[in-house]
Amino acid sequence: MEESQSKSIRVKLVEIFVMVSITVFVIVIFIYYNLNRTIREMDTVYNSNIQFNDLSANVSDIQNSLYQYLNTKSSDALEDYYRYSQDYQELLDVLNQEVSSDPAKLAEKNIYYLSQTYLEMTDEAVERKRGRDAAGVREAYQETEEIYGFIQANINSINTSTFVSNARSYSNLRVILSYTTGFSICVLFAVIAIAVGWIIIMTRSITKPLIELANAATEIAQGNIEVDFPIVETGDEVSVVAKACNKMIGSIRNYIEETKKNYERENELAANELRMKNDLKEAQLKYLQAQINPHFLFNSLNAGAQLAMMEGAEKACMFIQNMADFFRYNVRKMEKDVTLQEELQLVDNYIYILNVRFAGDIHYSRQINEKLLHISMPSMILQPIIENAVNHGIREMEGEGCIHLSVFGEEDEVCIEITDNGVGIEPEIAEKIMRGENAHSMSGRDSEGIGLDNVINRLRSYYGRQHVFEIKRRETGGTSVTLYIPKEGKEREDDENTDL
Amino acid sequence: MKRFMDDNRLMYIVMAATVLLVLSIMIGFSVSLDQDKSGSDEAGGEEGSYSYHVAMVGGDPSDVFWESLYEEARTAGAKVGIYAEDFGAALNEDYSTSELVRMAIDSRVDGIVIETDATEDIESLISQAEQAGIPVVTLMEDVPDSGRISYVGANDYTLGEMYGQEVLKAVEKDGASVDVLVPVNEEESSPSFIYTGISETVAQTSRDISVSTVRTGEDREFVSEERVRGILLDEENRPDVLVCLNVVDTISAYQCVRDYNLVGKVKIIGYYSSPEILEGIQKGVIQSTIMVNAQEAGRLCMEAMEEYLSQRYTSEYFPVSVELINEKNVEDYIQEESGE
Repeated sequence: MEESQSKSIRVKLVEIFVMVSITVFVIVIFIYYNLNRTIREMDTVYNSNIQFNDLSANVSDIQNSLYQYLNTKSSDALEDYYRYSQDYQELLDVLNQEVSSDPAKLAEKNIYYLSQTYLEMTDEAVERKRGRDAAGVREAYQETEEIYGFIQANINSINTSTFVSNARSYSNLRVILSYTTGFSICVLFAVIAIAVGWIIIMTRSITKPLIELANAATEIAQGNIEVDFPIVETGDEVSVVAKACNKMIGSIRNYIEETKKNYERENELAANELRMKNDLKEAQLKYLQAQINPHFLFNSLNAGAQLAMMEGAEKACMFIQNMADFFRYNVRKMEKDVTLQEELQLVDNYIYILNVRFAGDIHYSRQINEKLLHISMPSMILQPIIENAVNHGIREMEGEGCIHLSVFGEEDEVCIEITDNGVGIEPEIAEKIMRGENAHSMSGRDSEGIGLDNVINRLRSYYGRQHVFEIKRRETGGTSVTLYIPKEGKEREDDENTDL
Repeated sequence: MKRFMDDNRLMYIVMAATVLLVLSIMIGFSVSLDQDKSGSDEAGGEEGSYSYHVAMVGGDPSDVFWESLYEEARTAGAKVGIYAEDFGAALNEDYSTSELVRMAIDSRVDGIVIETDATEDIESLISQAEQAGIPVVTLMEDVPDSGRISYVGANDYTLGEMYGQEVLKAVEKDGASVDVLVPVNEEESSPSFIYTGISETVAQTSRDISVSTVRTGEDREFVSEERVRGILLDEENRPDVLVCLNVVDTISAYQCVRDYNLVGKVKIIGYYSSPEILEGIQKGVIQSTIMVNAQEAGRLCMEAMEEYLSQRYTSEYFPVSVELINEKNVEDYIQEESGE
C-alpha cells in the first residue's frame, strides 16, 4: 500500500514533468553557456587592438605632458607626466618581452624595449630641464621625439596587422556562432521531440489500465457478470480502483448466489408443505369415507356403552367403550401432535377391537422404555402399521398371530419396532414401499386404512429427513417395521409444525 | 509492480542516456570548434625557443637577393637560437636604413646585421650600437673603421675583377664605352671597390675602353627604370656595355633593351639571378650575371652573430662565394635551382 502510494499517478506525472523539465533546462543552459561563451569571445576579439590603442594614446599623453613641462616647467604637467609614465609602464608590463618567431609578439617586444628607452630618455630630458641645461633639454627632447615616432609607427603597424588577424578571427567566430546556434536549435528540437515521446508513452501507461477498467465495466454492464476487472500492477490509484471493483463484483456474485439458494430452498419448502397438506387431506378423506360421522358414531357408542353397563353386560360395555375411545382419538387427534403414549393407547384400543372381532386371534405384547413415552410425534402413525401387519401378515396365515411392539432409545433417536409372525413381506415389495412406489397398489387393495406410503411421507415431512421408516422380512418369519424418531424431534416440531 | 518498475527504470535509463548523448555531442561540437579556432589563431608562425633577437636591416624587401638571403639567415639562425627579424618590414611606414638601425638600437635587440652603403651616418650608428653593447655585422658592404664585429660579403675587388673580365669579353671594338650602374647615393664616402676592380682590370689590357659610373642610389624607389631608360635612349652617349650591380637595375636594363629593341647594341652584365635575369641570359639579351651566393651570405651572418654572442669573439671577415652565370651554364643553374 505504501509502495502504491509512493507511486501514485500524481507522483508519476510529477516525475515525468520534472525529468523533462530538468532535461530541457540542462540542454538550454548548456546551449546558453556555449552561445554566451562564443559571444564573449567575439567581444574580446578586438581587445588587443584596444590595448594597442591605449598604449598609443598613453605614449602620446606622455609626449604632450613632457613637451608642456619642458616648455613651461609647469608642475601640473610634470605631475601628468609622472602619472602617464606610471600608467604606461603598467600597460607595458603586459606586453611580450621574449624573443619569438611570432611577428606580433616580436613587435610587442620591440615596442616594450623602445618604450623603455623612451622612458629613460624622457626622464633624462626632465632631469636636464631641472638642471637648466637648455641645450641638453633640446637634444634629449629631439631624441624622445624620434623614439616616440618609432613607437607610434610600431604600434600602428602591429595594430594594423592584429586588426587584420582579429577581423579574421571575428569572422571565424561569426561562422562558429551561426553553427552553434543552428546546432543548438536542432538539439533542442530533438530533445523536445524525445521528451514529448516520453510523455506520451508514460501517460499512455497511466491511462491504459483506466481504459481496460472502463472496457471491463462496459462488459459487466452488458450482463456478463463473470468478467473480472483487469488488475494492472501499476501501483497507482488505478490498481486500487480495479481491486475495489473486483471486490465489489465478488460480493455481488456472492449475493446473487445466496439469493438463488434462498429462492430454491423456499420453493422446496413450499412444495413440501403442499405435499404434506395433500397427504393429510387424503388421510382425512379416507377417514371421512370410512367413518361417516365419527362424532355421531362416538356419541352413539358412548350411549351404547352406558346401556350395556346398565344392563350388566360388562364385556359389551368394555368393547363399546374401546370403540368409543378409538373414534374419539380419531376425532380429536387427527390434526394435532400426540405423544407416544397416546399413540400406544390407540394401538391398545385397536388391538382390543380386533381381538373382539376376530375372537382373540391376535397375541399382542409390548416392551416399552417408560422414559420415552412423552416424546411427541404425528398422530395416526402406529395404528396403520398395526393394521397393515394384521391385514397382510397375520390374517393370511394359519395359526396364532403375534404382534410385538417395542420402544427403545438409541443414541439420539427413539426406535419403535413392530414385528409380527405373519407371512412376511417380499423383499422387492419392501423395497418399493421404502421408495414409496407401491403404496397405492397396496392401499388400493385394502382401502379401509391409511396407506403405509401416507405414513412414511408424513413422518419424513414431519422430521425433515429420509431415514424414518424401515420395513423388512424377519429371518425368523414375519415382517418387522421400525420407526426412527429423532429425540430432538420436539424442537424441530416447534419450528416447523405450525402448519401441520 | 515489478514489470512496471522495470519499464519505468528503462525509460529513465533511456532518457538519461539520451541526455548524456546530446551533451557529449554538444561538448564534442564545441571542442572541435575550439580546436578550429585555436588552429586558426596559431597560424602565426612556427614556434621555437630563441635566446637572441637579431635585427637585419638593409635591402629592399622586394629584392630577390635580399629575400633569399634573409630566408636563409632566418633558417640558419633558428638552428642556433637566434631569431633574425627583417627589421622594418612589418612597419607600415618606410624608414631609411639609418633610421631603422637607430630603431633597432632603441629596441635593444641582441644584434644587428646591416647591408647598406658605408656612410658616416652609418658609421656613427654602428659605434652607438657598440656602446649600447649591440654587436653589428656588416653585410656585402663593409664599414671597416666602425666598431662592427665582422663583415660578411664577397671581396668587392675580386668581384670588380670578375666584372672587368666580363666587360672585356663583351667589348668587341676599341673606343667602346662602359657604364657601371652603382646603386649608391651621391654622398657615398668610399669609392666602390667593385668599380675600382672593373676599371683596373680594363686598364691593364691597354685597350681604349672608357668606363664611367652612374649612381642609381638616389631616391631608392622607382627611379632605376627611368635612369636606365635615360642612359640607353641617349644615342650620343649610349654605352656599349652596361654593368649592373644590383638586381633591380639588371631587370630594368633587360626590360629596357627589349622594349627599345637594343638587343645586340647594348650588352648587359647583370647581378645575381632572378627568373627574369635567367630568361634574359637564355635569350642572349643579358651576357652574363655575377651571382653572389645569397644563401651562403645569410648563413654566414648568423654564424658570425652566433659566434660573437656566445664567445664574444668572431672572425673579422667571412667571404661569400661568387659565381658567374652565362649562356653556357645557365641551363645547369636553372636545373640546379629547380632541383633544390
